[in-house]
Amino acid sequence: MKQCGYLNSIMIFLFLATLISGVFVIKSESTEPVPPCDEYLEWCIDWCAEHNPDPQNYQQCLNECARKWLEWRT
Amino acid sequence: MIKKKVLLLPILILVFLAFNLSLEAELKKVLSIGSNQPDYLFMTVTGVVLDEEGNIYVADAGGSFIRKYNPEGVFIKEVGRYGQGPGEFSNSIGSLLYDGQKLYLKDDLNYRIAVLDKELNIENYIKLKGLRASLAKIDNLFYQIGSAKRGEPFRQVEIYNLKGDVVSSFFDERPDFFKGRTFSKKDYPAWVMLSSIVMAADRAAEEIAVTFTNPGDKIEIFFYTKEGKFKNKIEMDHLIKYKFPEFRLHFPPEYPKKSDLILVWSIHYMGAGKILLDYWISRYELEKAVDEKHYLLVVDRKSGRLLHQELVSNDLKVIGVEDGMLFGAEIAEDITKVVLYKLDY
Repeated sequence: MKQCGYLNSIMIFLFLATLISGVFVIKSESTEPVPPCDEYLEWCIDWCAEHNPDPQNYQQCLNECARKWLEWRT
Repeated sequence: MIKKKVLLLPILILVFLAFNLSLEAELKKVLSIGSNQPDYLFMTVTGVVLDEEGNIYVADAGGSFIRKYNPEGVFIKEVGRYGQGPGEFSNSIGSLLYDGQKLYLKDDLNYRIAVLDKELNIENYIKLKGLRASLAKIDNLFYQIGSAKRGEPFRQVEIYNLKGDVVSSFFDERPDFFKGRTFSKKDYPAWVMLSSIVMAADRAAEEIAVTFTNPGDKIEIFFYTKEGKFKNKIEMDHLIKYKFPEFRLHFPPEYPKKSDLILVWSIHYMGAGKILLDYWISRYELEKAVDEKHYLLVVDRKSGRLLHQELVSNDLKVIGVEDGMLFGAEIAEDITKVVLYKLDY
């Protein structure tokens, strides 16, 4: 009887854990989660201006930032 | 009536020519450092500053080092190598500042600012909490450019204390071509690119100037107090008739056969109520730039009136302006050189 009570506690805990994580999944889907690489993209683009001598190189650098971002995002 | 018009025409032409000539100015090269010798070899110069004795400090991201040269351009000392430990720098070091006492070197990928004395001894590091661009300093406050809100493409200026803690932030302006448009996550990279800003700090006036790298139909420069309080905005026309190219708003962009692009690469305080803009006009054929013109524009701080314009080499990378001098890097015969020009405007 004591053992069953222990199992019941585990079941309640698992049920609550599933419920809470489910709420988080639904919530994050509805607000379109932001990938962590967004900060990288912003910095990368500003970095391109700081480290490239002219707009032609800058443009290539920007394309490379976008390519990496797309690659990481997918 | 016809005679009057005939007489008026040459006068108008002369007035027009005189006005344009008055806008033209000439840069005078004062010093050039760079050769194949190890102590004079540079890769990607990102920072150049001068101290009050005329010594020159150069930060190089490609070489992960900072060097000191005397006023004649003779090598004195170098510190740094690639790494994350003490005395080491990443290959993404950027702006270098001198505040009259210390040197501050931004090291993005090590998430820190190295504080050095004039003998290039590293005194301490200021830890940064994320990837941020640019660096400016007024009194005990640092300024860096970061994202306004995670997942949104717009930038703001963050203010830090000497411990690296964010004190506050400012700048919620948008380029005119974004007005009335709804941001779509699909076009995120394009909007991030088009929201880029550049800034400059005037220590004497305790003021920050911010402008968009990709300007819209006009160049807008916004001024803030050192605490981030909005002061005023000036506007100026482009050197050419320019309308922001709509296709750039989408990602990936679908390039038309021909298009123009204007970039404000950097902004600098010149002193005496003048602002210098590093200004590029590029003509594209599909995705390739077929013609690039690089100008230095000197603008009146109060009115936004264009005081001087100068067409300069596309190989000149403007890094900083201080006390009537322009510091930059130039590639000549495949050798990167640190150059100092006298701004005689």
